[in-house]
Amino acid sequence: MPDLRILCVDDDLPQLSIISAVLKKEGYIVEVAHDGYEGLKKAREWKPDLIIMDIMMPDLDGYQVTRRLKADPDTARIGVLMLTAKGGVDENIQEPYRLAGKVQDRMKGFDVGALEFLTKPVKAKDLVQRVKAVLWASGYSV
Amino acid sequence: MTHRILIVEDSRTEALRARLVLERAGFQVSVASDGREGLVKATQEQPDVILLDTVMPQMSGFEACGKLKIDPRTTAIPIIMLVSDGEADDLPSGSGLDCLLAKPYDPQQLIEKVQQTAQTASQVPGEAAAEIKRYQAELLRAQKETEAAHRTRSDFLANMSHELRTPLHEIVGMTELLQGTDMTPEQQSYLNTTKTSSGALLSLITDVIEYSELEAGQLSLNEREFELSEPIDRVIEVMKPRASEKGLSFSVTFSAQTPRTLSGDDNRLRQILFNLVANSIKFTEHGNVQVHVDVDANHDRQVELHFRVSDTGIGIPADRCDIIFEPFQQSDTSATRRFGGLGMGLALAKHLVSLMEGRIWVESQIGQGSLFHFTVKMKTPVQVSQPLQPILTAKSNWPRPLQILVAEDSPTNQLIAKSSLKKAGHTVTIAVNGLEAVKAFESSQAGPDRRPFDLILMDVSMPEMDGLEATRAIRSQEKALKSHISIVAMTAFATQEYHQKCLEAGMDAYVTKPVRIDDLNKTLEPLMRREPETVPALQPPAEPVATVETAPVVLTEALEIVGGDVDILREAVALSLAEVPEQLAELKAAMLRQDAKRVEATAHRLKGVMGNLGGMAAREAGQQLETMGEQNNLAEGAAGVTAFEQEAARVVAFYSNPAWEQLARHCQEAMDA
Repeated sequence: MPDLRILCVDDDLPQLSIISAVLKKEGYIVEVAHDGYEGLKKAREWKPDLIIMDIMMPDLDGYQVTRRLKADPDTARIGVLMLTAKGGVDENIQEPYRLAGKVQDRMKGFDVGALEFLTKPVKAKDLVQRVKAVLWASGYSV
Repeated sequence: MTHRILIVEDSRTEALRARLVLERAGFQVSVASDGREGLVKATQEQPDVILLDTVMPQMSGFEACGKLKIDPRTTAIPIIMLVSDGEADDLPSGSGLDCLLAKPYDPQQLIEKVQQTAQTASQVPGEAAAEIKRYQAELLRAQKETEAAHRTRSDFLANMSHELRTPLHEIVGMTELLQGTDMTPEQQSYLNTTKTSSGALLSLITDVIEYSELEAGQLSLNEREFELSEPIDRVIEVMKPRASEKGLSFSVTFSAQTPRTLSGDDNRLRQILFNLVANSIKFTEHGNVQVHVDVDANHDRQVELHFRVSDTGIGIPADRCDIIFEPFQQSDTSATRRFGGLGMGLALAKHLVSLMEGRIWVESQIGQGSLFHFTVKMKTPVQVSQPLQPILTAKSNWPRPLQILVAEDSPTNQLIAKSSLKKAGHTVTIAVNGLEAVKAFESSQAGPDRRPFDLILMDVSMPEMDGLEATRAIRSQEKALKSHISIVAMTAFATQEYHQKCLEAGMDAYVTKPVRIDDLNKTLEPLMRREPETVPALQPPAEPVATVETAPVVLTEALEIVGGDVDILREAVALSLAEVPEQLAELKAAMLRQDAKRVEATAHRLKGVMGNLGGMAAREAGQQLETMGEQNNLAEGAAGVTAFEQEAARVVAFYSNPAWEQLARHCQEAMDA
């Protein structure tokens, strides 16, 4: 496995520390960003091989960051793995996305260009598995 | 001969008028003021004629007439019905009336009618009349005998049960006391059998008493608000060991809709479930017994719970599926010999279920097992009812393996403590006196490969250094270490004064010897989740802990998240604990401002933090808050914040005790195995 690089974008510090530690242990090179803007900036500068993106972040949320990344030819090809949470119905979301819980998150996530999802809390085994899957789908040998 | 007339009439003036008229004409008259009283008087007094008004409160004349004609004791008495004008035309035929008299009637008319009716009745040919009289007398006697026998039986049951119960209570109590004394393991095992058997007998007798109370209609339901997990935990507590003893697995699951809080009689609910589960365990030799709780209907604060108790036992023949709910019945009489018991449990359950407006039934296949169903109606309290989490998984990290130092000088007691603790999965180190105990404690705190103990079980009277002194020594060392190990006294003496001495010396609690795992677990429950800095002078565990709370942290969850790496978890814990107070303050501020969006965001964050630490209950409480914010409905917000804060505090307390790392390693080892 070449030195694959992963960017983790999450405003939740403990969550970030867990994910980066688990991935580092797996041999990946990990960089972290603590909010959407930082995530966008680091993605453009560092051009990681994969981005793990939390959805609910202040100012710029995971959907918005992903949408901008996908709109930029420089970053459009980076695979995005989204962290979703279980939740209720969001009145602000239009049909057909007004479905309950993570299904709604997924639908919207797919729409903005995410490849894969993980429901929080994320188990280490699942994380590693999905990361591999996304990297493989992005053309890397894993 | 004077004819006796019974007037059944609710109007006092009407009754008085008829009475005066008839008495003047030489009849002997008595009056009943409604249908019910009429029935009683007719039976008792056996009048020659009954005068029955039609329109009466509670029981109409027609209904009373029907009842009089059905009852063998009154069927032969002729009845004159007093009807209002016009009513006479649309009277049902065949209602057993002998004669009608239209109101208003004049006195002469009444006298004639009564005379005529009485005579007609007495003109029944002699032989037939005698036959009827004899038949009536016989029936009367038989009925009285049955009633008397029934009353005697109830009285007998009630008296006997109490007579049996009192000495049994004494036997059970004395056995328990005896168990607290020094004995050889052999004696101990004999005594255990005694206790089990007397306990079983006691529960049988309780069944009998309850059932006789039920039959006498003396049993009623209480209503109070309760957590559904309370009665179910109690059932698990008692039944799980019974199931494991037979090598059966036993589990309880809930559907997601099951409300957490209910209003109704939790004791009776527990009793029903208890009887069914006990029954299933009794008739199952291999496999499992499972309980599943579901909701059939839930609207308007009324919820219909549906319990399923399934087993892989001997099964019940199809033609016995109904009869087993009758008292003193088992699926076949040989079962009584094989499995014991009175066949009372299911009858009791059926009665209780019907009191709760529910149904009970069974599906069964011989040799495959049985599936008992029952439904009960309960109310849901006004507040938002939270869905119930499966409690078994949450509970599963307590009791958990501990490193225990046992300070005990008697070799026999060492053996008992060691074997029973090891059986429960704990690791045991023995110290033969107080001095040794202090040394063992010191070395466990020092050195590169130190393995601190989770708990010290301390005998009180030991040579060289006694338990009290040893405890004081350990406590004074701990001041420097800024730690607090749980020390539990093992005492054979049950006096309050003695216990006070132990607590004053710095012990946290006490258990009576010989140490029983159940007692120990109950005693340790509060100790093992307490924050180390805030150790209060300990309360003696006066009452056995009835309900077991869910653990603050499900370590297996937390470990899965970090892939079993305790170092990663430690880092996450440090970051989380630093973050929680700030986030919590923000949550409260947002709630004060009624800022739903902000509540949602902070709750989301906190929920995530708790979830990653395995704090399942706290995570759930955070989820509730998030949903409130999301739906912009903060009506229950304050309560939600309090609930979350409490759960979160337990998680924080759990991880504030450095011992969690050791537990996590034990846990990981168990998972790997």
